[in-house]
Amino acid sequence: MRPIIKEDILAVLKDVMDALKKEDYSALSEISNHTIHDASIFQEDDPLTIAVLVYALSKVINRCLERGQACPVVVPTLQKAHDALQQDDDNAYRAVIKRLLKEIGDYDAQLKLYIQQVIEQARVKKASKLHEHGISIARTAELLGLSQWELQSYIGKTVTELPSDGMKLTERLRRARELFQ
Amino acid sequence: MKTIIFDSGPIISLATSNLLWLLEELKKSFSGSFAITRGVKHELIDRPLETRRFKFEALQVQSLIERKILSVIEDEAVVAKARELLVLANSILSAHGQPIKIMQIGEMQTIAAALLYKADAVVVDERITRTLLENPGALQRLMEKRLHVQLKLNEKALHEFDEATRHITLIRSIELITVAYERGLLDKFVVNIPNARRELLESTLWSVKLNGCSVTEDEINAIVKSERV
Repeated sequence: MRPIIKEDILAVLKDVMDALKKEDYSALSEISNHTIHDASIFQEDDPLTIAVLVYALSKVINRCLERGQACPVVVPTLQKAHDALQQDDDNAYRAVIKRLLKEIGDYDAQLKLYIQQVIEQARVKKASKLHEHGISIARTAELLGLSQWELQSYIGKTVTELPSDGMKLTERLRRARELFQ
Repeated sequence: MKTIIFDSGPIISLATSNLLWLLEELKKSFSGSFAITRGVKHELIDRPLETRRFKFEALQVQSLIERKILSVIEDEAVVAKARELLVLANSILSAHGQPIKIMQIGEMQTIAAALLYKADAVVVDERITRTLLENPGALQRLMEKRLHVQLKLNEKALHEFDEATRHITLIRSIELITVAYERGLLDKFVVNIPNARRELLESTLWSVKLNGCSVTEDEINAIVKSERV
């Protein structure tokens, strides 16, 4: 793993554990965006996976709180992931994160379908963030294993369009009209 | 023969807005072909047919192909040219010594097909592709702002990419809908409500926007205003 990515993931893991210990669950969603810059530039699995994991975790915990259920206990596992990464054991880190994603998915039989949807939504959400950072829809869909149908529909409803920097609307319209004359 | 090449985005915007049928109507007043590449067909049809979601939309696109409204370009030269363009596009900007992969092969197949088939226009709904082709400096500024890092510009790659693609005309699904509206193709939906024509135009433009066509609210307002409805 690149040192810059490792450093950022270690910081994210620490922030997540701190937030969980303080029961500051609202912070998790924001923390999940901390590796998006790395994901946009390097386009490797590790920053994307941690972003998806933290976002999914924030949703699952909120759901548990709403239902008055006990939240999944993940700090010890996150600490293992942190320690493995700090010791430069990338493979052990990835194995712990993979196991944690599975544990979250299997946390509650009643919530199983919801959690699977949450993990899927997390991938869409993080893909839209990558797109906001300048990566095309097709490339972000490819990176997160999503269909462009799904991603484009989500982006259309959530991403605020900035003023166009390309051709002016009037010129585009003129050219479109010419095609059909 | 005139040709318009479609990227996957505008077909998705139109299909998810229940406006895909407009292509058949528009083609009647276009003496040429509407085409997609093999890579775009894969994303639009082959992939969703393997899932539950968007399967019906995929069938509608397949129907357009079977009825020869849309043709599929099966040309190895397009694939080869697309690979060449992809290497260029994905080496224009870099950060921390790492070239940033902005584009994907399917999008470059659309651009490659437009070049090799001398297309009259390419329909692209997503902003990043359009900005890269029309104003790459703006893309660099956007990415630097979002990534909080200064990007390195590969002038040679940019120059080669720009030289190859500078004559491409890009339009969006939003312009196609406006033309369709002006030609009366949407008139069957002028219903008995106040400002019916205005509501119709606004509703279709907003529909494609919300389904992924990159257009600003100001642009939609400008179109509605210019149509004097």
